[in-house]
Amino acid sequence: MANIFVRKAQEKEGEQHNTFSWKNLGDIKSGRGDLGEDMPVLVYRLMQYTMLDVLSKAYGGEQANEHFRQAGFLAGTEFSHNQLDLTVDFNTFVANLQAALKDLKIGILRVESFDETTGSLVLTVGQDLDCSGLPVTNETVCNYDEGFIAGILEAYTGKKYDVREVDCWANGDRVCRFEGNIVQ
Amino acid sequence: MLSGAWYRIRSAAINPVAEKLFNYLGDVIYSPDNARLDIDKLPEDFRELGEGLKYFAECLIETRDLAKALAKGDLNGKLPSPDNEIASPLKSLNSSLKHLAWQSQQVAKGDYKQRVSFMGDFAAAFNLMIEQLDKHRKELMEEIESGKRKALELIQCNSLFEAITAQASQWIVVVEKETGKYLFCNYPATSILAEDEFEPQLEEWLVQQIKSVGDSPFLVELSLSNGEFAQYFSVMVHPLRWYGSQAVAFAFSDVSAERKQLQELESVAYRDTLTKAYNRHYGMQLLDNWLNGKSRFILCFVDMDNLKYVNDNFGHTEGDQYILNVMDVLRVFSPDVQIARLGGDEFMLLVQDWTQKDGENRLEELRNTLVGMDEKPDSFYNHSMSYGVVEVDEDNEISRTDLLGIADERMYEYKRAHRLLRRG
Repeated sequence: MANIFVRKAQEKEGEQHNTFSWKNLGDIKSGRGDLGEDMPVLVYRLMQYTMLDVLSKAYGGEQANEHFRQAGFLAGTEFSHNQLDLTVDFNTFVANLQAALKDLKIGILRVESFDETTGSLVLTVGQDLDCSGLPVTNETVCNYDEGFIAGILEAYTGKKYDVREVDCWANGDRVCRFEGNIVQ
Repeated sequence: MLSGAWYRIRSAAINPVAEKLFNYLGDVIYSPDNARLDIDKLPEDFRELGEGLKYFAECLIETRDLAKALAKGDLNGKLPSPDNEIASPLKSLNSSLKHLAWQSQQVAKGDYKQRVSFMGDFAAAFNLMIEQLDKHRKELMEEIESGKRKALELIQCNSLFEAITAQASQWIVVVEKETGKYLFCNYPATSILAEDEFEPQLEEWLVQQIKSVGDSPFLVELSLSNGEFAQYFSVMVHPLRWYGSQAVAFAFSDVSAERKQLQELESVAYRDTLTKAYNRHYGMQLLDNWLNGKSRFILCFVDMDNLKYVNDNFGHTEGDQYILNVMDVLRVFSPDVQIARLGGDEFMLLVQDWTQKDGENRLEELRNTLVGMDEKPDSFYNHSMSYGVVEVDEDNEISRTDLLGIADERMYEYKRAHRLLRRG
């Protein structure tokens, strides 16, 4: 027999796990009392790249990358609204973002340029959670990051951003350079 | 001196492929623009090695170009391709310098929260510089805010000061101590200083006062006269700083009305209401003062004749007029005579530095003047007076009462003598 309580709760919330909400990330701290909130990057990448593999086979590489980009965008948007102060000035926002990305061990963010007139910016992410340590090839692999950064920028500025990885290199750790431009 | 391609080798003893590859490597290092390697002309076994060397050469040239750009401070040059591993550290340096440039721009715009974590000692010095800049900026802002607050307070105080000084009836004059130049005059003072009668007197007085100004405020009195009437002032004198100069502020309060009131009170207390001569009380006080002060003077006791007769027969109004006539006569005794009315018909005259003889002569003259009034057509009674004079010198030992008694006795003697004379 189906659990009537769970069904009713889901009806009330209007949410299921295949619809993302920040709340549904759960109470990690109490849920993982002994193991704690952290886990090895290996596990994260295992999930990410197996998913990419499956999606690529199902929809083709380009479409799979686009899905990854959209997932990153959703993550960036939710992360911004739930973890960042969006009311502060740009420099403070960047400083807070740098600190948050470092604390959560997502990567080391550095701004190289920001054009206040056009809103265009260039930034790098070092020791990136998704790709640092991967062999550098001619293909761009940080599609999830592209979406993630676009989601953050849009959440802060209210303007739609197109973010692309324009360069990457390995220097022990891998550094990715991204360009963000407002979509007219 | 080395020739253009000094690094190249050409020897029949060396394998020609090895020679070609060796010279190609030399070209890549020393003459990259001329570095050429035709893979197709290499033996089959060496072609992959040749491709590897060509790729290595490309990476090397890219890396060197980036290094050159960085050496010139150019951070926007073309960057090596992503798979150029050799260039990775320089790309990181390029990225760090770009981030540093951006941070510096933010600091220049006033964002002192930026902190550099690049190049050890440089980062420490740079961060310290930002902290110092932030500290100085905050101090400067505090100073500016403090200055703004003070300026506002000054404006408010000045506005209040102007309102008060404009409304004040006091004259307020600020004078530069060194030069005597007027630094400030409120409206009432300005109008007074515009008057030719007062300005010279006031200026002279101000110059005198400035000389006696020390560190503390003090109160002085001033009287200004235009010939007809005098104005009296109580003046508060304040030393102060005025735009860096030493100055003196004078606040003049017109006390003429108070002075007049005081004089009226004195008149009530010390003077006889009818004749305006001193009353008995003040006359005795004056006599005591002169005695105590070892003055040399004469005491004249004057008694009007016939006052009771005048009062009884012509009324007290005529009697009062008779008294005033006598007073008028006595007043011309001398400019410095002090006259007190001791009773209804009794007067006391005190005059310094006169002898008994001179006093008697003078009183006799005055008596004759008084008697002369009998000749007037509207005179219905005899005007006359009797007097007795006592001379008091510095060594006097006689009491006030005794002196008055002697004068009184001499007056009666005079009166008796003249009564007998009249009868005779």
